[in-house]
Amino acid sequence: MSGMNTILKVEDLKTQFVSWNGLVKALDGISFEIRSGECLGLVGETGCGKSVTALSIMNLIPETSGAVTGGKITFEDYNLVETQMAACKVIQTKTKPRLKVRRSKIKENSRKMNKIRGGMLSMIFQEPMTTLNPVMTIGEQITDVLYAHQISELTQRIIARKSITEEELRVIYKHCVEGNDLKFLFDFVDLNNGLKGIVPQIEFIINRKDITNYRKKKMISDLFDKDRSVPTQINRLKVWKSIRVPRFLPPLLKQEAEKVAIELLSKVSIPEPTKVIIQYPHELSGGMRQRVVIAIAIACNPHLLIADEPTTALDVTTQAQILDIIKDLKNIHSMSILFITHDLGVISDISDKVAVMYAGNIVEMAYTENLFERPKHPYTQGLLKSIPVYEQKKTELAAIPGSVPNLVHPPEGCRFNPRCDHVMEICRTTKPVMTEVEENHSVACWLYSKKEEK
Amino acid sequence: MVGANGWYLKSGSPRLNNFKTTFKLLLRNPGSAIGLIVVILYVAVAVIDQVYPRLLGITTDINTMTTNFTHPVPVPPSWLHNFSNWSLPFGTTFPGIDLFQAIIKSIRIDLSFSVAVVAGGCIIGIILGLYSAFFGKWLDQLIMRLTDIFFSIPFLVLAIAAGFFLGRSLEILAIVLILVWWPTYARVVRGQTLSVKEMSYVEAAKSSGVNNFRIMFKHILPNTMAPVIVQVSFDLATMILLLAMLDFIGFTPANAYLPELGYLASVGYGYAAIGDWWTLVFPGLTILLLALSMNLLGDGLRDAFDPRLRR
Amino acid sequence: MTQSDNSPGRSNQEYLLIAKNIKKYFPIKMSSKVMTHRIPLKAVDDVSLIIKRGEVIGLVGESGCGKTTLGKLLINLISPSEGYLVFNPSEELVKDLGKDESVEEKEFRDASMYNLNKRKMRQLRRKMQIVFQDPYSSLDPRYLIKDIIAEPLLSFGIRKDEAYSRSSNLLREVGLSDDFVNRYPHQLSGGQRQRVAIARALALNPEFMVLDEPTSALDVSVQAQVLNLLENLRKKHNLTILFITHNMIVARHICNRIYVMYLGKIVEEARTEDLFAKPMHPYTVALLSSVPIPNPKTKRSRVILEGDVPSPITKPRGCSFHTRCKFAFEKCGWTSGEIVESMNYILDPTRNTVLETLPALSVMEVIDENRLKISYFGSLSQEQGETIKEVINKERREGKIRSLFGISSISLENGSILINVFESIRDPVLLTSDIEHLVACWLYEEKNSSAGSIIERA
Repeated sequence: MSGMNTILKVEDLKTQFVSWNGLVKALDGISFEIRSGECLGLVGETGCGKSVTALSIMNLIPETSGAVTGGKITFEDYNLVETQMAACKVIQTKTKPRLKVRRSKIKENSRKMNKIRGGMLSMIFQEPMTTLNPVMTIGEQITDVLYAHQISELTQRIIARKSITEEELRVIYKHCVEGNDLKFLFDFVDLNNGLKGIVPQIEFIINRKDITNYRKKKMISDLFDKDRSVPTQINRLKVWKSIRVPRFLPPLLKQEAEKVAIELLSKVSIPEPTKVIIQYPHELSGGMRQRVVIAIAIACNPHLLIADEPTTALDVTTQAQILDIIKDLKNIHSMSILFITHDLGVISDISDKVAVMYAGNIVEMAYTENLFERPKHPYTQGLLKSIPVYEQKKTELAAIPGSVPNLVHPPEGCRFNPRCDHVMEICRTTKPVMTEVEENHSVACWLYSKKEEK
Repeated sequence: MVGANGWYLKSGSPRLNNFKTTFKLLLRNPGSAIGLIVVILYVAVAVIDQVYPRLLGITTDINTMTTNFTHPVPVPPSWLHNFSNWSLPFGTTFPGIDLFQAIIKSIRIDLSFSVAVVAGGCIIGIILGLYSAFFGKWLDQLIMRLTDIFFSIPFLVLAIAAGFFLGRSLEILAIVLILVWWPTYARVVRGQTLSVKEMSYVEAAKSSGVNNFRIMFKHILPNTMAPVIVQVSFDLATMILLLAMLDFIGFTPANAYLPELGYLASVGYGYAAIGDWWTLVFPGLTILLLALSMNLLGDGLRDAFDPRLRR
Repeated sequence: MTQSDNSPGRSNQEYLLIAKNIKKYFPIKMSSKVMTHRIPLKAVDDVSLIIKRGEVIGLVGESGCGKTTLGKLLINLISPSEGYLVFNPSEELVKDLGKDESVEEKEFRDASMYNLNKRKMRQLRRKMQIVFQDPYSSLDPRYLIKDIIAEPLLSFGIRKDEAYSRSSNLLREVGLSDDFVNRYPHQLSGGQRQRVAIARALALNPEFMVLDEPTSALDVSVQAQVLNLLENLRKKHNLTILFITHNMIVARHICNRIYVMYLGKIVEEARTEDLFAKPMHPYTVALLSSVPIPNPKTKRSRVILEGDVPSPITKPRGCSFHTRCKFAFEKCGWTSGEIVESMNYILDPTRNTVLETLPALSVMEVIDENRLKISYFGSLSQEQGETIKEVINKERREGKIRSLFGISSISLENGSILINVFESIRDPVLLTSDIEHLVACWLYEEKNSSAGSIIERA
């Protein structure tokens, strides 16, 4: 992929929940990192802490039930958990664990996170119906996000259209569509800083597959705005960075937001987006709803997209469609993705790198092909063996005995030890750490650490 | 509680209908805890009054108030003049009735009246609601239209009319109130049944040949009880207030000296105006405290049955 | 009737269940501006199937295709709108299969489970059991595990002590130790609950068991345990199983024969190996190719379906899959309503320079299911009409827009274009294309059994 700089770094993250029965150690010190343009798959069974990881990164753990108790999450230049940890702490009293919440810190934290969430960092949830507001149209829901984070971008788009000349558009068309050279566009814009807003508009037209070049030419030349005067309101909003939406938005901006909404919807291959933006969520099918959710998530060009089981509630054929869209996001728009699922098939299809989680720990991490070809950890091996093989029929599946441990009283040492075939004495007492057994393939298991010592 | 293999995280939350948990959650809220204690106190007084009235210093007939026409004018509480004298803690009311004894007697009458009405309405409502939702179709239509009809009858008018034609006794009043009170329960139970009916354990029972009667009363009914219990605790308070109100406005049962809080309050209302405040305050406070604590209890129960609290 | 029973001389012992033309319509209230009226939601639409003793039948399809409804119909948990279901058919009935319509009809009516009286039905009940998908709602939260398992036994009049000893035996059989007996369902994990549900279903010693997505709520490692358990129990108790699932990998693992359902109809039936080796119906092909396989090395050509499953209330005419089918052609049951959209697309003058000279498009009017009228502002001349015809024919030849195949003729009438659509005579029916491989698709019906798989055609 393009750059290889780290976009998200999670170090020794610990999250705990207070429950009726005691303290649930949902995350027990997990570490991983995502580079830009990379898709990391987080796979594991129910209750292993995949979703908690996502919620911890998004700072969405409800302060009434749990808190991040340790570790560090670095997202670009921000430390995401610093204020969160200060705001909400788990205190162990004699009988029961309790949560201590400091309201002022919570406010500070949410103010800080609101800038990041939805803008640079966004998330897709499993259930598309509950994520969308049933009483708002699709268009309103998308434009809401745009107003919150993208006002300066929207104004730039308007201003760019008002300042670009017909001649320049013709040149851009010639180079970009006929010459098939998108780079020209970026170079061109670099020279004229005021035209920055034209890039996504032209990119969108060029990337469309359903229209002929003739139509593209027409659409590009249509971008030229005869009315060259920029209203002062728009000019004033040019540098707007706050997440507080100004009370009165100029109508020009609203029209622009609607245009962007249509662009976004066709980006996630929704047919007839102009119809969809005036519809309500219940009028759409499950697959369509999930596409809208994705469109909202990518509305602000997030640097990292967290997808928490985005296809679990969908049928296989719809799942294939959605996976295709997410793959496009990764390949064409080079978005970094944290993809969470319990389905090994999906993970092998979509991700570059896989982290296998078990009972609040990452037990194995490797490139997808390596992991599926040479699984190291007994849990990963067991998991892969317990899936019926598609290519041929087997009589008996190799199931992992037992069930997922209770995280209030997790087993000592390696949390997998009660179900493991290769259990040794050390597994019952000491927790193994992640060690690199091959290049870019690390495992947390004593089987491999021991060999190294020898 | 941890099994050999440990159990699944989600199932760590206690069962919705676990009595112990409900109780614990109830006591967690100070309001409902106080409500519960006060209600228990009232019930204890009523039970003792029925079983062993001597313990409360009642030696006369428990169903009538003892009058004393030689001193009919209200006497203030004895401790007002001499603090160590507790012979007449609440004073007396017209005609020479010992207010303390009268209130204790009337608590029992009022409570048993409201329990009888609520229990009657509850049983009829539960059965009709259950049948209505379980069998559906025309039976459902019939019963639901019936509830609509009974809902539209103003119970006060009905009660007064019944009292006028059938005689003014507590029993007739109770029957009339049951008639207009069951539809609430029928609706609550019907709504719950409709959702429980769709659970697959009901279908599983059907497919293993369990008969409808057993499915209805053993599988569905216990799982619909939570909102009914909440409704009951609210309605008990309402009933007591209702009886007091009817008595206050003069719909007095034929027995003129039936111990009843509304009657005591209504008598006291006249005397309070000329300065004998205790004749109104003590019966009034008794009603207020009972209604308040029952409502607190109901609120607490409603919260305790809320599954979101049981994480 | 299905024609899978083409080899003669089988004893009736081989057949366990015969379902004939089962339909289940749910009335749905639709309110227009004036009044409400009911229209049928065809959850199961004319399904016939035969289940042989000892088989594991798979019923696969996407959510909302009616597979759960069919499963419940097959054990008479809900009653159908129409159709017959015979459990343990008599020898005569099997002999008369597919011979004489009226005789067959009568015999079916007499033997049908749906027409049995309550007492007889109750006796039959114990021979067929069901296990539900969601292990969290399938066990009554107020019952102890032992009571849950003993309940069906008690309801058939077995003595209490015997019922309870049987119930602990059953628990052991599904791999749970005795200390589970006195627990409540909420103290168990999903996998353990599903085992209890299986034990309850086994309690009455059934011959036929419907498993409605028994593993889809479970984790992979637990799913494997349950699948292994089911396989063992099937052998031990000589069970016949109808396995309803949306997971093709699981279906492949456990089933002998698979029925594929789409919008209330069975579109393909075949032995598991045949179905996976050579899927015939375009829907099956797409379904199989969209299954994610946990092996990054297998690179398959994927068929990604466009659009969504249509609502079962407004099912498409003819073959209900034709709106998403990549191989749809003239016969598949197009309606003029479906053509409107593609006409809008084709006749867009910004897309097609040839059309720029024409007057502006005024209105497209759907006259009825088979006719569509396109009028322009001002009447069209003969020449202009020819231009439009040519444009449509050109697109049709290219074949990208499948709905254009539905057009039978284009004519110019009174200055506007009139488009006629092929009338569909009937829906495609399940027909043998290979031995024991049935498919309901016009592609194969037309060329009979020699069609070959559509993968080869593509």
